[in-house]
Amino acid sequence: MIYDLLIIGGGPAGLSVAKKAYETGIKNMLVLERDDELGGILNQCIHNGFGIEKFNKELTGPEYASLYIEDIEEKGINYLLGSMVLNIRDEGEYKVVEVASKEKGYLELKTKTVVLAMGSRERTRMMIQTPGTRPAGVFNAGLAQKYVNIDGYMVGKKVVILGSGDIGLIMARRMTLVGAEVLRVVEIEPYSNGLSRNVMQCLKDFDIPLQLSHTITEIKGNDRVESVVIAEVDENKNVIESTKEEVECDTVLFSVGLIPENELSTNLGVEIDNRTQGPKVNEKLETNIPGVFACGNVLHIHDVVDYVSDEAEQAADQVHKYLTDTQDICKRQIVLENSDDISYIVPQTIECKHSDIELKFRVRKPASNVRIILEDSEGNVLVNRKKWAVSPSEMEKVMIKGKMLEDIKGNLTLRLKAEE
Amino acid sequence: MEEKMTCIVCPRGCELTIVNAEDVSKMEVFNHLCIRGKHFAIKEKTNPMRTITATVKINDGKQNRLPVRTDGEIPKKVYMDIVDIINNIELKAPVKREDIIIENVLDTGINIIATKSVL
Amino acid sequence: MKKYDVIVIGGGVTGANALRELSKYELDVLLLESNADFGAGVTKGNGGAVHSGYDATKGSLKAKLNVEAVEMWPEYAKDLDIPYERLPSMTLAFNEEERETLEELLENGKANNVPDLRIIEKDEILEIEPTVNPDVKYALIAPSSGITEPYIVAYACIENAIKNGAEAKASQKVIDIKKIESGYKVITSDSEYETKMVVNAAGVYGDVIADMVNPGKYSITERHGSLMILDNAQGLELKATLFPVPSKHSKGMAAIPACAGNIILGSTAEVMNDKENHAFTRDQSELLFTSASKLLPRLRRKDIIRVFTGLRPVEVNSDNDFVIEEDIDNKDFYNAIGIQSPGIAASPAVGAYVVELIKENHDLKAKENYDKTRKGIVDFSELDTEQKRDLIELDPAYAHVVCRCETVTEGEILDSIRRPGGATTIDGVKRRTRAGMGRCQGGFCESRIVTILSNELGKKPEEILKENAGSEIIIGEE
Repeated sequence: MIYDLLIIGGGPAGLSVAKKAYETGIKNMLVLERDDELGGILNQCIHNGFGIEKFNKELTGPEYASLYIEDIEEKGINYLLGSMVLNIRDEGEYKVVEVASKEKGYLELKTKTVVLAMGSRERTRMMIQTPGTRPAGVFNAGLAQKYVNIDGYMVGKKVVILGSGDIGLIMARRMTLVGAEVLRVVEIEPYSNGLSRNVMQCLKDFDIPLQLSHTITEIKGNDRVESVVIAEVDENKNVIESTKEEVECDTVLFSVGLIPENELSTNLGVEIDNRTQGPKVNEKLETNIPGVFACGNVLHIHDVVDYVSDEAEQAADQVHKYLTDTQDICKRQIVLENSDDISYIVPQTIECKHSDIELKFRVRKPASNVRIILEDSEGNVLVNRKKWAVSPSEMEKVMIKGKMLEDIKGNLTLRLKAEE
Repeated sequence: MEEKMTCIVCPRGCELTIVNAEDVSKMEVFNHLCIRGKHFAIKEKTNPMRTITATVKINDGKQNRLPVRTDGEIPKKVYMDIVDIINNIELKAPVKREDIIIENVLDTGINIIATKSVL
Repeated sequence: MKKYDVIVIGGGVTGANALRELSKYELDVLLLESNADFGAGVTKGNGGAVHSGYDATKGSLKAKLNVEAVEMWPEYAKDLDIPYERLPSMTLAFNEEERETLEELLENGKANNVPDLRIIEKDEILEIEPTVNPDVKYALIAPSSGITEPYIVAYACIENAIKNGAEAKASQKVIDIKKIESGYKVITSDSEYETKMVVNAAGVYGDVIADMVNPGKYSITERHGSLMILDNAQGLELKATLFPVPSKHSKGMAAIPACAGNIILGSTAEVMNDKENHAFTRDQSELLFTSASKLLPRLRRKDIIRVFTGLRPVEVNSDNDFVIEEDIDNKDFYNAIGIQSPGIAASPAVGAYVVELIKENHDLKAKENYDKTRKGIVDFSELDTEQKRDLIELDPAYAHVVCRCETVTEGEILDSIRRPGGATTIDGVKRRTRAGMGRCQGGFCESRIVTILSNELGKKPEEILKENAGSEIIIGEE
């Protein structure tokens, strides 16, 4: 048996692909999920704030996931839980997916297309090399979130959080509500990496101090965390020795960013972009391997799950076109570049000239009153849009009209320009 | 008295300045780029409202915790009282999504509902 | 009270090898380990290089045992199913001055009877390992060196010894030893044991144990060494362990291709006189990366998975040599202390040497049914398709991948817990199976392993330890 579509991952991206693919008429598909339930990380994100863009209401993570899961059940879309994809092989017309499944044992599944929807993992304390001992009580914020929200365990009583991304902020509130004392949230940047709404409702509401331009310089304690040393950093992120302060605590949560999870992609031969750490894709969200698509956090880190679903739906549409031989015919490849004040841009290439294309990107530093400018190699401007404020914590989007792509000279560069 | 507040209505995040925050009748809001910012500041100063999300202990189910939320906003001043109530509930599976766990909690007219089915 | 013939104090590579050697004879032997797991002291903080022995001072005990052990390694590793690969080491010289040091090392190595040592030049170096810094001029190549996984050495020896009738107990910190008529009474925090003989293989606490019968005779200082593990995401397949030209106290920041495919950089060397300090500093991690990058310019910072610090016990009055001898005033109290680098490489010979010392005082009778073999935990990720299918058919727990980064299955984790001397902690499972050792550092699997351990050991999740007492992962229910 040969599948039309295998979806690797049953989180928000994979679920949205499955739903949309079904609606385009693809029936012969399977969602592979390593956990014992569908929904991925949404299951532990019990807070609200999901679904505002997509459903025009404020849902919690489990509710957002349920809307998709219930639909998938109703449509009878096949999925396999407890199934870890070990490897994907490219055999030209077909891809072979090697799976270890709790229920079905070792499987090799043949498919015409694959959508990579594996999501991301957290950066660890060790990746940023926070010095000190390696005791119990040091957690990635997402792992602590699983312990607290899914397993129902307390991970500590006196907590310091490093990193003010949204997971860190949400966990500051969550730990407080289950009875822990959150001493402070420490952020190395001079600005918070989370949404201002979370800074207010997760920290200010509970009088939890946010220390900007600060970091943890040492973790102490042999068996369990006993204290951390916190210090201010200068504009080059160098520790200012005289500001060192030891804070007694039993738990440190690290919320220092997410990394797309692309080991399967790399083994398959998918080219990875150093900026996103996700696959390089064209405007069809197709990787360098025909028939292999990517969407969601495996492609680049999103700020809002609604946009993951949007992107996944685009991927599903493109899978349908691939399967029905109605993909846009492409004659050349336009490479998308970005200036230094932008950290990445997706897609990385545009091949077809006649469809409207949404570009997604993030800026490196917060800025206000800027223009987003997209121009070709000869300086012809395709997009020139004013933004009141941009921030690295938010994914930005701009649309290019298909007809504008017809006369592009060379490649495209996206840059920011300060408004006078 | 003058007070600063970051508006959270939209991602623009205006740094609002509120004058006479202690007296609603005299309160004035500055530095908002749109009228929503002003409304936000007044509401935050007079009657701030919040949604609570949390989990409750559930026995005999596929998992140990059931995620719940308030089905509307509650006054911020009763937030921790409601959290205490939630933290002391113990349920038995199965519970279905949207089941009411506590009706009209603390007479707020708001219910605590399950946000997931735990079988 | 059961009376033992020999009690070995310390379950690192030294004690474990001594236990295994002793289990070949008709003896009641017991190993006591102070930590909650074996191999969790000096042994765990090591890069895993099996040194060839060219740099140990000629004529030293260290040199003798190192070179003897290198001979033993291939068969030893096969018998015990220990990961081991014979892989040359190259000590890289970038100028004529460094070449002089290579000449000295070559001469020293020849005096130590290290086989096939020679100095090679740039072209040959790059042919062996093309990713070496092309500024390299010369290298001392030692074809007899290799790589292993140090704590697996300890586990394998202990499992094999148990199979042959020995006993091994963890969480037994020795707090006193009393001389009694029949030998010694060894007192731990919750038990007492009587024995005719004692082998002191207590690592950095070697002096503390020795002091219990002969105060002040030995003194151990700790040389702290930090190491760095890199995810081999760019697929560098090093064909040699690479060393810079050494300084007085350290072989320098080496790049070691670990058995599991990672690259280990290390180690730094600082004398700190602290038996419990396992902290690493920013300066050390910087030094590790920058100096190893001189040897291998292709290393990438984003591949850093972990930094950790190990302790090397140095006996201060022994000129950096191993001290393996019977206590001068206490018959049948044998010290095997100051086992610093190359303690891993030398460990099979160290174990044998301890038994030789005992044989000088006693006639030992060999066991007739001694079994020298031990089978390791299967590595699911290394199996081919057919083998994976067969194994899953046999036991469906192997179809459940618990650690995604290292592809470790529930079957492997259960085996690591259920075998004799098995894992009882999160770090114990990690060292035996690699679960949690990968790039996400347990972010995905840790909570799942807490559940498995709690089911297997019949303990509450909040009783599950990361490493030692006091390192509970979670503190209770909400």
